[in-house]
Amino acid sequence: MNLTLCREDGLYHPGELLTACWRISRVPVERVQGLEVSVMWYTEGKGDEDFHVHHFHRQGENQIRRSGLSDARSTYCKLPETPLSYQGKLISVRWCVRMRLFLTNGREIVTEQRFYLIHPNMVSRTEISAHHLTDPTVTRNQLSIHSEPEMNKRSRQRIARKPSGPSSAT
Amino acid sequence: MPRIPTPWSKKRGERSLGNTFAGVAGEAAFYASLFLIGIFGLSLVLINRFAPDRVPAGPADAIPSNDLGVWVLGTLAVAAIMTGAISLLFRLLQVGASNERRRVLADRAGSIEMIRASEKDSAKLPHVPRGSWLTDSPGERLRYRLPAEASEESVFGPATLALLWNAAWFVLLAVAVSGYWNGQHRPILTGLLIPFGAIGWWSFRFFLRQLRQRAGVGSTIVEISNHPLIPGSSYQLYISQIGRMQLKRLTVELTCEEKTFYRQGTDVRVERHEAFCQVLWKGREVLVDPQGPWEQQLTLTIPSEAMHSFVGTHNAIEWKIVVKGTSKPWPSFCRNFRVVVHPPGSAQKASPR
Repeated sequence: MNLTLCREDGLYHPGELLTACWRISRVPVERVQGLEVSVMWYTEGKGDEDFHVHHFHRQGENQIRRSGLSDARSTYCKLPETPLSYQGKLISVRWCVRMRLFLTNGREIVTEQRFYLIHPNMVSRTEISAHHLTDPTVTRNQLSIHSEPEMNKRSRQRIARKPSGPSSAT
Repeated sequence: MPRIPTPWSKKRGERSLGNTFAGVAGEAAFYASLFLIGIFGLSLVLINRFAPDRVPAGPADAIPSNDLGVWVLGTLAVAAIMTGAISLLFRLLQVGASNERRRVLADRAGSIEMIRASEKDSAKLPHVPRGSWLTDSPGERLRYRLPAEASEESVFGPATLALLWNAAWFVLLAVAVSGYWNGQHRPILTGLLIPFGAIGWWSFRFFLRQLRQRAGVGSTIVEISNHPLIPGSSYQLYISQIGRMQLKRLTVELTCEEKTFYRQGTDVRVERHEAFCQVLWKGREVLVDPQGPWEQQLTLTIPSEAMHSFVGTHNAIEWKIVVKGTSKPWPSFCRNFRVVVHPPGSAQKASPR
């Protein structure tokens, strides 16, 4: 499964349009039961996971058999104003496009493409660190958006049994 | 060699090492059994109650014949039926749907206006607290007076303990005294009155200490020129401390706190981390007098790169103005005043006044 976003750097601003494209190869169409694509955020960290699905696209068995799997497909949505991506010590807010492929034998294939929702006024991480080092009143600061240019290259793909656990398929 | 399936598996947080399907099947079987046992129990109770002559003598004797026993068994049976049926339905609904799909369905159901009033503001800035409770009180010097967060150490617990314990002690005292009057001496009870009285005295002193901590230190007033706050903007802040005390230290800080809830076994724990702290004012040997409360007007600037306030089900990012004081003989105090930070570029509401 190949899942790509319309921006290579994976940096999006609130209110922007996000387009996710996917292509599935080497899976016979008769073995596929359904497909779901979600644009969502979730929290990572010490606490229990919170997540919210901003945009949800589902294709059933009949729809997939009509359209086939060989061609590239896409879905798009307008991103919300909040929550912005955040990297803290206890909590991180992460945005991603998650695709689940349901197979007829009860298995699921999950792939995820992360992206960052940041405000245009936000400065880069290095600038923030430099600012706080020179400000003696600031004692601790984890309020930086971690921009990772290589993040769009990372794509996690997992195979899970059905049904999955409460957080995500492992 | 195939592994012999075991009915248990080691649980490691949210993950488990067993077969997921076996877990679902086991849960479904358990709730179905509970439901059927409940039906069986209720049937026995109803038959015994309404048609006892049609039941053979043997099984009928197994049912409690008195009214209390019948009611207890009937209640247990109904509870088993309801628990079994609801849990079984809930578990079956979770089968065959991804987490994302379930969440979308739940959100759609929640957005129906009959279930929950539609909120335009929360739709515009999702998962950012609205903070309307922060702007419903006008200030004297500045636009809004911020409410103080309720302290986690309540005085009601110590008050209830002191009141109930001492009330029980006085009842025992009355029993002991009436015994002496009637010539029925109760030496064991009289002996127990001494340690019980000591516990009562300790609980009363503890209550007084808590009360002094709560009511002895005068109130703190915090007013702000505008709300919600926007990163990169500056605001006027007015702080006033009322009371009669000599504070060794007084500090006013702007903090951002990460707050997270998590399950550890059967407990729900809360963990906090101060992600950002900016000292707005710090002073020593501050004199607070009833005729002249301590007052200070400050300027507060939210860093331009600051994260906005965030609230989820288990996680939150909260901004606060914290006033900390250390004094003698009064105990130290720390009062939090929550503020809401919106993302940059959000339009600020005009004052209603």
